[in-house]
Amino acid sequence: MAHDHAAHGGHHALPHIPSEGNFDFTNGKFAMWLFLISDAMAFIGFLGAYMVLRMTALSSAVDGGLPWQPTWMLPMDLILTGINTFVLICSSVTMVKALAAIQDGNVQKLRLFLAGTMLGGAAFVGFQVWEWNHFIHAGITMQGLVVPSLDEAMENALKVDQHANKLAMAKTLFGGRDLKQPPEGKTLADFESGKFSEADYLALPLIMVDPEKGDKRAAQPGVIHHNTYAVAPTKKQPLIQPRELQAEIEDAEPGDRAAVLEKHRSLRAKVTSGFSSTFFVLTGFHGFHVFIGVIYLGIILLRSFKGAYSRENSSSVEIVGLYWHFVDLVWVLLFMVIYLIL
Amino acid sequence: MTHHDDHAAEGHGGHAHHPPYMKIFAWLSALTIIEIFVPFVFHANKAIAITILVAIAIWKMNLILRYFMHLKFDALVLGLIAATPGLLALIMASGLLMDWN
Repeated sequence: MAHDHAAHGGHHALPHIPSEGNFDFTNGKFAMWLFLISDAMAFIGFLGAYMVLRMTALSSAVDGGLPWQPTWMLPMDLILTGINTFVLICSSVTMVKALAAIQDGNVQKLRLFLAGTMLGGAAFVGFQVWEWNHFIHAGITMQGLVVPSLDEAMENALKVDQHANKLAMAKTLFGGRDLKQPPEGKTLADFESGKFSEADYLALPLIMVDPEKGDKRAAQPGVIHHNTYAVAPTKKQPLIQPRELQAEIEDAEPGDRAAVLEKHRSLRAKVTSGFSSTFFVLTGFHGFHVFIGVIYLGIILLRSFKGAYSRENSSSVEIVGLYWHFVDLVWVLLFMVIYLIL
Repeated sequence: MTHHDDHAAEGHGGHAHHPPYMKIFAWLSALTIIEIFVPFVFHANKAIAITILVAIAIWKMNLILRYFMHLKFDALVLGLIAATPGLLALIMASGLLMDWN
């Protein structure tokens, strides 16, 4: 068992290097475990960054900064991701079934289960591509979140209060809202968990953003602030930097500020977001592992057609299995941290 | 003969004895369904939700490591190697949580 190459005839085998000591596993399996723990360290590092950003987002929201997942952000589809998680679990089962098949000497079943595992992995990656595409179209990108334009923000607010005056709202939407004084019966936790309605938000005391004083409060719907760094909603819209817009508004007479905003009402802003950055890095890094795993499985499947594996020579299948289950293992953590602990 | 060979040793009729993979699959599926409902059920109490979710995740990871990755049947040294990043993760998470006030 421990000497696959030698057991397989040896015409293409590397010379066997006996391991020192009495460890009863192949060198390949040991090497895979070493790789997996180093890979696990990388994931742990990313998760640590996620934790830090996630925990500091709460205190940032107290100061009027961007919450972890603003209420206007496209919510994540827990059910669909749950189904995708189930697909990955299924692929893990087909993987162990593939190993069991070759340990029983059944090469046909090995091929069948390997193909099933590849299919599961491809489906998982396919869903992630769809999810990424969905998010990117909704303005959630690795560089940050697209803040809804004044028009969109007003539209959202009008859904709550049909009688609101658009122009009056345009005036009040410019500037942040003071989260330190939530409305009666609401808490900051409600804001964090998305139970804060647009009406609740509008009921908060208004705070004006002053970039000259390094004021970090901003990034709420309709608020243009120096923290924003890219504004280009459509190709037709002239590119305007938030700082320029800020200056333009501040230079205008108080009575004309609404008109300035009106001019740029369809403008969107992009703000940096710890959530979107870590979401894409973590799911991307994991998705890349799944993609590599599918290729790795494909190589094993191809080799199985060349008679590379048998009851006595199943170590390579076990090793690819270790990689595949590791990918599943990591997803258990990511699914919990990213999707379930919002 | 290795420990792994022991658990996949040949039984009657030339077939090896394998771990109860389908049973583990059923457990993993059930735990996944439960954890999806946790955020909805415990929406009002995030601390309880997180505690349950972490417990379920550890349970799932334990099943995968022990049965799918065969650590239950492998040499102890592989289990110790696998535990190393977990230990470091625990230290890191504890350190980060201490900073959270």
